[in-house]
Parts: sequence; structure tokens; C-alpha cells
Amino acid sequence: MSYDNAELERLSAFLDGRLDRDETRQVQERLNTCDDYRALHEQLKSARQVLRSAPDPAPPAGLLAQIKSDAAAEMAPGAGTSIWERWRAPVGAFAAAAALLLAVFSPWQATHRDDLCQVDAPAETEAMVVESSPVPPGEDAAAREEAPTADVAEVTVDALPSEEASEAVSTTRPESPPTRVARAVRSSPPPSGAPDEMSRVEPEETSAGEPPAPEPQLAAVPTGGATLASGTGPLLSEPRDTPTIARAPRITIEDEPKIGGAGPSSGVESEMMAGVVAGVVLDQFVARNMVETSTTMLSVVTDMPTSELGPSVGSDDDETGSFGFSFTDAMRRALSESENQVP
Amino acid sequence: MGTEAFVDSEELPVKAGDADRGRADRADQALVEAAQAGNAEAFGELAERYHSNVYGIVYRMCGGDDAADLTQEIFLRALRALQKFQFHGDASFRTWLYRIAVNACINELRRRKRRSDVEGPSLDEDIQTDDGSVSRTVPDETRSPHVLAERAEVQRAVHAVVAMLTPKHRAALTLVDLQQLDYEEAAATLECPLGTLKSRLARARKQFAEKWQQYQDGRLTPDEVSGGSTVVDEEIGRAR
Repeated sequence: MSYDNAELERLSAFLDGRLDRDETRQVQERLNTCDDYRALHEQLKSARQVLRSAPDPAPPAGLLAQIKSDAAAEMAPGAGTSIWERWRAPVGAFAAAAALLLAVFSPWQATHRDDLCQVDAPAETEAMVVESSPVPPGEDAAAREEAPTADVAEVTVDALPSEEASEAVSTTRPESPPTRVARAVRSSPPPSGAPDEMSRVEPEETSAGEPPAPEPQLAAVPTGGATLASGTGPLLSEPRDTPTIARAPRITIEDEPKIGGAGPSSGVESEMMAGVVAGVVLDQFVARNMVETSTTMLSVVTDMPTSELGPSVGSDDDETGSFGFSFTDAMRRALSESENQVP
Repeated sequence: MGTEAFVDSEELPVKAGDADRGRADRADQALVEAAQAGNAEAFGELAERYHSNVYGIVYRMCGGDDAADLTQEIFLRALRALQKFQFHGDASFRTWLYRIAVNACINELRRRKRRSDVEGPSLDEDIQTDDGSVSRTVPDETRSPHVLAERAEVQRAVHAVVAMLTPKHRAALTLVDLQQLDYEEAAATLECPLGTLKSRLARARKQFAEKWQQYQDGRLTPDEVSGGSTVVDEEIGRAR
């Protein structure tokens, strides 16, 4: 029996009366002349007849009642048809993911905070310089020449390779900028217009022909370079013969109260704990505000502002499983305007 | 809104011509809108109108064992998605409901395939009894004409042969020949072009005719049935 798919489709459609007049005539002519084609027609016709005459399977007794019962239960107030019921899992997963990210990211952020903030160091240095060696506005250049400490500090910072600066900063992590500012303010002000003690000393040291602080020293005590930027002024308590710029900030660190605890490691732990706690708090916040979250998600889905969806929290908060959520007319309209979708 | 408003729709035939189908669609629209507004009785009316046909689709696509449970689940899915349905253009609740049913059936067949992949083939395995091992056999409904005369047996025989087709062909045959939808509605239900529907239907009829002939001649063995099921299973992954 030779035929192609087009002929098979045409014959099948012929059985259903779906051909136009010309196609119908062509099929009839071929049925009159071709035995194979006629056999195929009989085969398909028989199959179609068997299928169409096959009795419909009768649904079991009680199926309709069960469907109606399901529908009544599903549509009852406070039943699981609320949008939150369908979004509970995604929202819960989002909350858990957010908590996890927060818990992981917080310690990382604590570790790298100063890295992230080191771009602010020059500005902070400038502020400190102004505080530690007060000069009238407009005399910055002269004041800097007269205040070599400030110049040294700036040069030191600039001279540090970026990697070293980063390393230096990371070693001073427990010290926070506000602490340094407080220290500087407390120790800086000399009599107005007069160079402070350090300003008088350091030029002598450098002008006396002593070599500038050797680079290995700066590298060995990397905190100096970075912390000096913020601790330019507070060197009054330092022994005058201390040649290194680097040691001063260390005193500053040890003198100041630690924010994060006893040391760097405990600081990380405490910040990690803070991250975990923040995650848990976020999780609880989402749980408490899941109705609002649902409304927000509904707003995103329907592309309507939340304000136009109306209040979503009903007065039936005490109903089990309802979470007080109910559709408003605006929500229904918004949903009905979206495309029909098969679940 | 009570059920009194929908009384005139109860007598409308589901399998009907274009005019009657238009009336049925309009009646469906009133019921759907009432159900969307929270009227459970309206949804119950819809279930009353279509549960037999949905059950028929499920029975033909997946067999009778879990047909009732799956039908129940389909109506629950439809209810939960009802808010998203709207009447526009040629949108028909019946087509939409049948689409849910067909998709649910294909998912069920896919689930069964995964389960059989995990548990291994069972049809080819011998049954262990107290008297020893007995070969698993499929009841041969074709060898006894008087059995074939019984409607239930014919029904089972037709289903056994239909079940040997691929899901795509099975769905086309079920909707057009067994549920007697027209081409356009069947294509809309299957979300495929009209030409594709015609092609699938023609091939499905041809395959059914050949298998049916073998069944009637007693040439269809249990092994071929299980082999056919394997072919069907392989097609499930490509069905959607």
C-alpha cells in the first residue's frame, strides 16, 4: 500500500468531512480507481467507527460529590486559595536565602570593610590635617610647608604601594574611623597659629640629614602608613626621638576602646553572629509581614502599584491558615486582566 | 449568586454543534464569573457539566486505575487557576479545562515513567506465588466474541490499544474521536497548529487501526503491549 502522509491526512480529513469540494472530489475519484487507497480508507473508517462507538467510561459514583466537596473546602473563607498559600514556599525560600546571604556576607563585609573604605582615607587625612594643624583658610599651602608632619603623613600614604596600603589597612581593622577622629580631636589642638610639637621636631630630624624612615620599616610595620593618615596629629604623647611614623597609630589603637570586642578574631565572630542574628530577624520579619509581601509580589505580577490593590489585611487574622489575607476587588481585576494561564 | 441563575445551562449538551457550543460557552461564562467571585456552587455546576468528559480524557490517556483521583486533582487545579482565566476571543472554558486535563495526564505519564525507571520494569517480570513463578499475562479480550460484545470489555480493549500510541497521538485520538471535539477545539486544547492536529490524528488513526486489527486477530502479545508502553514512555519526554 503506497501512500504518503499528505494522502493519509487527506483521507482522514475526508472521513470527518473536513475537505473542500475539490479535494473531496479528488479523493472520491481515487477511491474508485485505486484498490490500495480504498483499503486504507476502509481501515481508517473502521478505526474511526470503533473509537467513536466505544462507550465512554463512566466516572465512579461519588467523584462529582468529591469534586464539589473539594471546591467548597477550597473556596471557604480562610482556605488555601489565598495567594499567600501558593506563594508561601517561594517567599519562604527567598527569606531563607536572604538570611543565609546576610549571614555569610556580614563577616566578609566586616573583614573587608576597610578595604572598601580605603578610598576615603585621603579625605579623612585632609580633615585630620586641618584639625591637627589649624591654619587660616587660604593658607593651606604655606601651612603645609610649616607643618611637615602633615606633609610626611601624606607622602607616606601616597608612597605606599596599593597592596601594602591594603595590607596595612587590614591590620588596623578593629579601629574604626570615628574612634580615630575622636582621638585626633582630643590630642591635636596646639595654640592657634603655632606649630605643634611634632611639627617642630620632625623637620629637625629630617633636616638634620637623617635618612627618611626606611621603607622596610614602613613595610614591617605597615600600620604606620595607613594609620598615620588618620593619626597625623596625635603624636604629642610619642617620645620625641621615636623616628618612625608607624608606631604612633599603634598607640592610638591600643588606647582606644575596641568596638568589636577583645581582638580581631572575636570581632569577626561577633560580626558573624550579628549577621546570623540579622538573618533570623529578617526571616521573622518576612514571616510577620508575609501578607504585605504577598501584596507586593501581587503588585509585581500584575504590574499595578500596591496602593491601587487596596488593603490586603482583613479582620480575620485569627483564622487558621488565612494570615488575614483576602482578595480585594482591585486584586481580582488585576489578576483577571492578566493572561489566562494553565497551572 | 445562587444556582438558580444557571438552571438553563444544565440541559445544554457538552458534545454539540457550533450553535449549541456557543450557548454552552455563554452559560459557562456565567458560571465561571460566578465561581471567580467565590461562588462554590457555580464551580460545582461546572464540575457537573464536565467531570464525565474530563474523566473520559484521563481514562483514555492514563488508564482507569487512578482516573478518579487524577480527575479530582484536575478540577482542583482548575479551581486554583480560575482567577487567571478570562473570556476573550475564542477562549472557551471547556477548552481551557481540557488543556489542564491533557497536561495533567502527560505529567502523570511522565511521573509513572520516572517511577518505573526507579523501580525497574515490572510487566516482564514473573509473578511470584505460593505455587512458584507464573508468567505475567494480559487478559486477551479479543479471542472471545461474546466478551467483546460486552461494552466494558470493548472499552478496555480500545483503551489497551490507544495506550500503545504515543502521548501526542493518544491525545489527538482521545479528543477528536473519543471526546468528539472538532479540529479547532482539539488543536486549541493541545496548543498546536491545525495542520499538526490533522497530521497527528491521521497517523494515530492509522496506528490504531493496525493495532486494533492485530488485537482482533489475536496477534498482539503481552510482550508487544509492554514494548509499546516502552515506546510510549520514551515519547513522554518529548511530548511537551
